[in-house]
Formats: sequence, C-alpha cells, structure tokens
Amino acid sequence: MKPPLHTSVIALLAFSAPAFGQDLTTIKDDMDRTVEIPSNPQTVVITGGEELVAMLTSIGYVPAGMAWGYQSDVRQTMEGIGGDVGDLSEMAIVGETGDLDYEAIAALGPDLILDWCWQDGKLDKLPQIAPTVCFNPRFNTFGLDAAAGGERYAKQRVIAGLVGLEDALDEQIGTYEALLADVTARHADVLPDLEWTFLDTGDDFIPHMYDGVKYYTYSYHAVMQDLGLKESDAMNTATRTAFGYDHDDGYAQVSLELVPEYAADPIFVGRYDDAPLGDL
Amino acid sequence: MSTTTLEGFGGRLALRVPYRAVLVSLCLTVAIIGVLTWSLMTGSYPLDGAQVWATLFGDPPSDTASTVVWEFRFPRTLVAFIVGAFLAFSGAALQYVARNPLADPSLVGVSQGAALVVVSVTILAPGMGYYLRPILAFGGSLVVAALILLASSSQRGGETLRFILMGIGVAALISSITSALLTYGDIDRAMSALGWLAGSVHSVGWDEVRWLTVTAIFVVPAFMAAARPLSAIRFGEDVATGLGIRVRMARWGLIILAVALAATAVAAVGPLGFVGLIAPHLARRLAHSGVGMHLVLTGLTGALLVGLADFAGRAAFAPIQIPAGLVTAIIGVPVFVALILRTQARSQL
Repeated sequence: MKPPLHTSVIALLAFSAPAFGQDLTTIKDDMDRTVEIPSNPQTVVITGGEELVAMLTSIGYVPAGMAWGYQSDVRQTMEGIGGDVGDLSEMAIVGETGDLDYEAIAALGPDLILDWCWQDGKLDKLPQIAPTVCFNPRFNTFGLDAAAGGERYAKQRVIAGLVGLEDALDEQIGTYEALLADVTARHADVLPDLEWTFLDTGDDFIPHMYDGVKYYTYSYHAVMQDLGLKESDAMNTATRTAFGYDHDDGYAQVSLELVPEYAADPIFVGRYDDAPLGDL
Repeated sequence: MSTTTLEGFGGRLALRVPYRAVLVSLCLTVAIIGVLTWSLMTGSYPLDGAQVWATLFGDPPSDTASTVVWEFRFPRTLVAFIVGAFLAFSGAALQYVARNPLADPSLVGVSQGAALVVVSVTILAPGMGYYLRPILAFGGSLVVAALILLASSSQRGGETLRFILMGIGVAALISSITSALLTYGDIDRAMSALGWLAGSVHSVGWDEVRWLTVTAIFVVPAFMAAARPLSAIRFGEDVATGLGIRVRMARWGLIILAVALAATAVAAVGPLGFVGLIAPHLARRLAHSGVGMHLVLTGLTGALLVGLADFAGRAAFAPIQIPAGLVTAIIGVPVFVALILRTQARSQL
C-alpha cells in the first residue's frame, strides 16, 4: 500500500560524511526507506515518473536517462502547462518504466536513481546499481501538500534540493504565483462563485469523475484550488455513492446518462489527443 | 531405426533410446549452453567476452560488471531455461494423459488461476505485497486445477473429455473475471498486473533460481519415472489396464505433477503462453522416440525456446525489453504452424 500522503513527506535527516570522495546525505523516502545519497549527484536517472522529469527539466536539470514512454509525455506535459521542456536529446532511454533495461541504467553510471516505485520488483534491482529514492506517485499536484496539512511545494523543494537547484525552483514558483495573482485579480468578480467539475475520458472512453478530496492525478485541481474555485458537490461526495463504481482511490466511473447531474459552471474534460469525445 | 534401452529403478524406468533422439538431445544441450554463453556475453552494459569470463571466475573489472553478470544476466537466463523446461514437461504430460495434442497447462486452469489471484491481489489488496505473488500464484493455480479435476472426476468413465471441456469452461470464466478486474481496477495497479501477465523474467533473481531448482530436484525425476505409465496410457485405458497400470491413480498423479510444475513456473515469471503446447510437438518432430526420451527432448526444447525468447526480448530492441511470453507467442506459433503444415504436406505426398 502506498503510504498516506501526510506520512510520506520526505524527511531530510541530513548528516554529511565523506565516502568514496563524495559527501553523502541520508534521506528517508516515501517508501519509508532510509537511503544514503550523494550530496551533489552528478548523474541522475529517472526510471519512472514523467512529472519527476518534467519538474527537473523545467528548472534546468536534464537527467542522464529516463524510462521509455515518457519523453514525449514530458514534452506534452510541459507544453500543456506552458513550461519550457528544454533539450531532452541528450537524455538516454533506459527501457520502459515497467520493464526497465537495468544494464542500460548501469551503463550510464548513475550516482542517484529516482523512481515512483509503484511497479513491483524494481526495488530488488535498482539499488544494486545506485542509491534509489522513491517518491509517492501522488506527490506531483502542487496543492496537495498544503491540502494535507503539509508545507506547500515541500516535495518539489526536496527534489530540487537533490540536484542543488532550489533557487531555480523558487524562481519558478514566484512566476507561477505572480501569474496566479494576476488572473485572480482580473477575474475577482467571477472566480469565487464558480463551481467546477472534471471528467477524464481516459483511453477507453469511460468517463471518470475524480473525488475532490482525493484528487491527485494531474495538476488541474491544484490550480483550481489556487484560483479559489469550489469543487462541485458531485466531485466530492455524490460520485462515490450514487454515480458509479467506487475505486476507493479517488475516482469513479460514471454514466454518460448522468452527465447533467454533474452540473457545474465549467465542466472540464480531460482526454488524450486522439481520443474521441463521443457522446459527452 | 537403431535403438538401445536404458533401465533403472528396478525396471520401473525404461527408456528406449533411438540414436537420433540422443543426437538431437545432445544438439539441444549444446544449443542451450550456447544461448547461456551468448546471453551472458550480450547486453546493454558493454562487457567483452574476456571481462565476462573474468567476472565469472571472481575477477570482475568493476563492481558494476559483477552486478550485471551475476545479478542481472545469469539468474534471468537460468530461470528462463528452467521455467521453459517445466512448462514443456507439464504440457507433454497433459497431452499424454488427456490423449489430446492440444492440451497444455492453460487447459487445466493453471495460468488462469494464477492470473486471477495475482490480479485480484494486485488490484484489490495491493498492500499484501509483491513478495507474496509467487505463493499466491501457486495457490491460485492449484486451487483452480483441483476444482477442475474434482468437477470432472467420475466413476462412470469419460473423465478425459469431461476434464478438457471443464477446463475450457472454467478457464474462460476465470479469464472473464480477470479481465473485469483489469478493466475496472485502478490504472496503476492494472498496469502492474498486466506486466506480470505478459510473462517476463526481467525482474527475477537468485531466489527464483533456488526454489525452481529445488522443485526440479523433486518433481522432474518423478516425471521421468512416470514414462512407463504414460506410454501405456497413451494407448487407451483398456490397453493400459491390460498392461498392469492402475490407470486412475496414474492419471491423477501425473496431472498433479504437471499442475505442480506449471504452477511453479507461472508463479516465478507469470503465464508464458504456448510453451507447454508447442514444445512437445517440436520435440516429436525433431526426433521420434519413446515417451521417456520424448520427455527429455521436450524439456530441452522448452528450455531452449524460453531461453531464446528471453534473450531475443532482452537484446533485440534494447533498451526496450520485450517480455519472453510475447516473444514465445510471436515466434513460437508461426514455427508451430509451419511444422504442422509441413507434416501435412509430407503425409499427402
């Protein structure tokens, strides 16, 4: 079971000790593992988690390698939120995130590996190559730490700290918050009264409605929170009881026939580029 | 054809050995050693033959080289060979017992039972942990196979046909439930389960090698000792009874052994399709022989098939790793069809 978010905040236990010519730092990761990592890692490989790659590239750090299947997604993710992808051409592909080429990772000589760790079995192999830090896959929503009572951007600060780019992250956060303030000010008469709902069609075109409280998958929810919009009732409660199958993971499959009952001021629809909207 | 007969266990084990079969089994053994060597020498991490050799004999050029050879390449190659042999043995035994050339471990619900339990746990109770997966898969396989066996057993005969029909029906039902779980389950967990369902040895290690080897030590000799009853059963129940075989007991004993081998293999690497079906037929076409020698050839063929499939899947499109289960299906099935068609063409001539 993935650790609950409020207990999964990475704790920097911070001690430094010289070994093999490198200063080492001990951290406790989201899987409750204590990992000794270099204080200033030179070669980082990301074996799962497009958001990890997106976040690092957006603050100017290009990892040495990443799992296949994510490069285009990173570009798409970053372009979708208006970020700068940077040059990813130097980044090696080390297999698909569920079927990694462990030898390709070893060939890069990493001194740090970052992973979501939700694919089973990885943790038997990756630590044999380099210190491996696991992140809870749900960390990426900017607002989530704050919603769970934690420090805003806590995870992002830890990740940026791993590669010594805290300043770049601060600059990025500053840009985001300035943009947020501008939008909020310009639409102050509308935003507080808006209710929103989000439907994700996925690739099978079974609409999913995400529970506002447990919503985690993308960043939309955090942006909506930051703008001061309210989630519709359906987002928070009704989906889990009346509208369909409860996945107990924050979302439900919903019926197209009931779409009118999801009424909100805006209904956002997430879909893949080539997925049909069908009857929605 | 020139033959000789090997006997052991007080005459209970008798192998009639055609020389061609011996020659083919030697060739298969050499091929397996060749694939092992090739597999140890090849990979995304650059190591030449001398470095691999030095690593194997305790003088690795680096710690990473040692990890790559001893922790990544060696165990997965060995596991591929062993599970290939297990599935092939299992398929051959089931084909003999059921007297049906289409029988294989999936027919008795081994793959489906394992899949249902693993997918259920992965999706509904992920907290139960990855490390329990082999035990759960093994348990699921045995339970489903036992259900099929119990449901198809009868005092009035016709068990073999009922066994096959029951197996097909139950397997279809279980597959539907598994599909439903994958469709409605959390996407992350469903993806994790799908990775296992594809049948891959990429994450195995020495633990799997150890318990597969222990299983082989206990079960494979029992299989070889069963060559005589298998020889009799393939001619039908009446003939076997006339030859002094306690048919009912022998049949269930062999089915249980076949299920145990297949369940152990599936528990280690997930369902590897077609190996249990194809390997006995390939072996038969490589060399005609008695049941005992055919079992040996089948085991070697299965080992070579999965060993090659894993190597091809690992190296052909590196760093993309193609699960061995997909490669056995992609390569094995066309080869199988070609062999069948060639045999038909010959018989027509």
